[in-house]
Amino acid sequence: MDKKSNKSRSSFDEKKYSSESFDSVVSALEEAKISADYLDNVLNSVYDPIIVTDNKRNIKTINRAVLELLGYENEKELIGRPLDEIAFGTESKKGNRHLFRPETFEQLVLNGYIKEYSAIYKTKAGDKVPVSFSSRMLKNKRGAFAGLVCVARDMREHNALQSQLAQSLKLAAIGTMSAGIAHELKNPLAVVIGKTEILSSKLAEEIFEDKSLANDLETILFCSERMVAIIDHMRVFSRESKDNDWKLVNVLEIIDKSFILLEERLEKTNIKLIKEVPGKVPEISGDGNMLISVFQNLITNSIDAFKGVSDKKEKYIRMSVSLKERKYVEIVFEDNAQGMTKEVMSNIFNPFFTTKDMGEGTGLGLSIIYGIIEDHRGTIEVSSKLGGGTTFTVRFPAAKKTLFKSPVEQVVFTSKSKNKNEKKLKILLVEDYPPIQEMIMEHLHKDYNLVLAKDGRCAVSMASKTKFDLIITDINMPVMNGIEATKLIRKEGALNSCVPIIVMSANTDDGDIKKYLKLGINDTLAKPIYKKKLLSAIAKNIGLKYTSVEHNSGDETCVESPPDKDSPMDYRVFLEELGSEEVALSILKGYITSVEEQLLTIKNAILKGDHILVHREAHSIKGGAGNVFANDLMDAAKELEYSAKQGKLEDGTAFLEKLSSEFEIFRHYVNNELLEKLGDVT
Amino acid sequence: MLRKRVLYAEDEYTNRVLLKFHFERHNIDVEVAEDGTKALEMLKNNKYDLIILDRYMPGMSGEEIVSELTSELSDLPPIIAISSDDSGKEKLINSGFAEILIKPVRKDKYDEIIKRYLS
Repeated sequence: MDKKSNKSRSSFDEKKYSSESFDSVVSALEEAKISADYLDNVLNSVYDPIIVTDNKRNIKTINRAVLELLGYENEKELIGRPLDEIAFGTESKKGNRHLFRPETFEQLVLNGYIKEYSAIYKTKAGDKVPVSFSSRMLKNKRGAFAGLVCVARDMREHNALQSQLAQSLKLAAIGTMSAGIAHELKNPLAVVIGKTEILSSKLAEEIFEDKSLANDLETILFCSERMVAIIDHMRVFSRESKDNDWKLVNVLEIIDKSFILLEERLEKTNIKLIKEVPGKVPEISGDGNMLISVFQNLITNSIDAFKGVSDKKEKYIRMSVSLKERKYVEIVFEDNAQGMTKEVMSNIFNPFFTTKDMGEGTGLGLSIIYGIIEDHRGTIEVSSKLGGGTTFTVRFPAAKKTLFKSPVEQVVFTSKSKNKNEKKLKILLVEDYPPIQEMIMEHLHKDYNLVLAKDGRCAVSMASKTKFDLIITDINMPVMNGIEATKLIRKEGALNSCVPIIVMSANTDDGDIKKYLKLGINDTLAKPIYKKKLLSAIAKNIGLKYTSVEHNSGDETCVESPPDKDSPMDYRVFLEELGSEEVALSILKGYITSVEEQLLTIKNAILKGDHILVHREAHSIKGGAGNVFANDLMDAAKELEYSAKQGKLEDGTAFLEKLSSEFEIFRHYVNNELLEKLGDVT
Repeated sequence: MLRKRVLYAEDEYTNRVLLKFHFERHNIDVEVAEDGTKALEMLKNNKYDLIILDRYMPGMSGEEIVSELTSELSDLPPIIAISSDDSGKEKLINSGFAEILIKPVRKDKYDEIIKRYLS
C-alpha cells in the first residue's frame, strides 16, 4: 500500500514534470521557429546578396538576392558548394583569379573583415558581375575561424558611371598638363633657336675656328634630347608602357636625369638640393623614363610645397640613395617645406586628389607614381607633419644581376696649340651640366689650360695626379658633390691641398660664404655666371694659398649626413623597444651565449651531413638576430639556412665561416661598445 | 583579479625572453616550453588564457600541437602561431589558429596581441 501510493505519487510528479517540460520545449521551439523564420525573412529582404560560409569556405546560407543576382532558381543549387566557385578576385595572375590575394587575406585575418573589395561573382550562365565585396570572419568561442559572412554589391551601374567620369577628368587633366609641358619645352627650344642663329651667323662670316661649331651643335642636340624626354613624359601620363623599355637601370643616373629639368626651378625658388648618394648602387629593373617621371613628380611636389614658405628660411630638399637589407635600393626625398595634415596624407595617393589650386595640378601625379612604383614591385611611403616637412621613401628591389658601372668617368678638354701655351695656368673645372661646362670653356679656354671633371669624384682623382693652379667647382653634382670633393682634395699632404678653390653657388649670403670657407673653400661665385664675374674671381684667387681657417675643420658640414656608423646592430631601436638598458644587455648576453653553442652544433652537424639540424639552428640564429636588430648577422644566418634547406651542405662551411665572422663582429660590438659602456656607468 | 596566464612554446632564446618581458610588463604570467612535446604536456595539465606556439620546433610543430589539442580538448583558449614566414597562412587559419605573427615580432605587435586577447 505504502509502496503503491508512493509509486503513484511519483508517477504523478513525473507526469507533471514531463508535461511542464513538454510545454516549455514546445514554446521554445515555437520561439526558435519564429526567430528562424524572422531571421530568414530579414535575410531575404536585404537588397544586397549575402552569402555565409563555413570554415572551409563552403556556402552554408544565402539570401534571395544571391539567387536573383546570379540567376539561380533554387538555393539548393548553391548550398554546399565552395564560395570560390562563384566568387573571384579581379587581379589575374597567370589565369588564376583567386578571390583573395595573400595580402587581402592577411587583412581579413588581421582586422576580422575586409571592406569594399573589388571582386567578381560568376552567374549561373557564366557571366561576370563586378561586385564590391565585404566580408567579416565568423569566429568560434576560442577565436578560431568558423566561416565568412559575405555581402556583395552589384557594381555594374556604378562602374559605368565611374569610368565616364574618370575619362572626362582625364581629358581635363591632359589639357592642364599640355600647358605645363609646353612651358617646359620653351626653354630648351629657345636655346636651340639661339644656338642655330649663332651657327648660321658664324657660317655666314666663315668662322670655323676651334671646336665652337661642334660645341654649338652638341648643345642643340642636348636640348633636343631634353625636349624628347619631356614629351616622353606625356606617354607616362597615359601609362602606356612599352615592354621593350624595361631594362636594368642605374638609379643614380635616373636621378641625375630627373634633376636636369628641374635645376632651374630649384635655383629660382632658392631651394637647396642636398644629394647624398653612394658611389654605386645595384641596378634595378624597370623603365627609365617612367622612373624619371616618378622622381620628377616627387621633387616638383616638394618644390610646390615651398610656396608660401618664407625665403628667410633655409629651404632644402634632401635626396639620399642607399642599399637597404642588401636587397632594396632606397631613395628618400625629404624637404623642410610646409608638410601636410594627416587627412591630406591619407588621401595623397588617391586619383584626382589635389591640394593645389584649380588648374595648377591634376591630382594625378601621386596616384600615377604609386602605380608605376607598384609596377616596379617597389613601395612608397610618406611621412609628414604640418609645418614639419615631408619625407617620401621609395624602395625598389635590387636586380638580382647587379652590374656596376665604372665609377669614374673623365672628360678632358685641353685647349689647342699646346706649344705656344705651355705656360698657361692650369684650371680644373668641376661641373656636371653640359651647357654650363661649355659656357665656361668658351670663356676661359683661350687664356687658361682648362681641364674638366664631370663630378666630384673625377675631380678628386684628377687632383691626385695633376697639380692645378685653381679649381672651380659646382656644389651639387652626381656621384660626389663639390664640398666632399674639396674635403678630399684638401687632405693633408695631398698634391693640391693648398690650391685655391672657388665654388659656384646660388646661395651666397654672408653666412654661406663663412660656412664654405670653413669647409676649405676660398671664394664663392654667385650663379648665374657671367664672363666678367668669372674672370675677376679667378684673378682674385689664383696664386693664393689656402690655409685652413680653423683646425679640425670639416666637422660642421652642412651637406653630409652624420656619419653612419657601421655598427652590426641597431642598438638604439632595440633599446627603445625594451625601454630598459639592463634588460637589453642581458638579452644580448644571453643571445651571444646561445649562438656560441649553436655555432658549435652547426659545425658538428655539417661534419655529419645533418642538414636538418643545420637548417634549424641557422633558422634560430636568424630569428634571434632579427629580434635584436642585427641585420648583417641575420643575412648571414639566412644564407646558411637557405643552403641547408636545399639539402646542400657543400657550401655549408663557407657560409658558416661567414656567419661566424659576422657573429664575431656582433659579439665584439656588444662586448666592447655596449657592455663596456655599461661598465663605465656602474 | 586573477593574473592572466599564457603558454609560449618556442625553442629560440631571444624570442622567449622578449615575449616574456613584454607580457610580464602587463602583469601577465608567461610559462615557457622549449619544445613542442613539453608544450603539449603542459597544455594537457594546465589552463591558459592564451596559447602561443612557434610554428617550427624540435619535437612537435605548432600545427601538430593544435591538431592534437583540438581532437582531445574542447575548451581551448585562442591559439596564435609565430612563424618566420607566412606561407600556407590560409591553411593555418583554417586549422584553428586565431592569428599568425611573423618574426621578428616587435613591441607594438605584442601590445596589440595583449590588448586583443588578454584584456
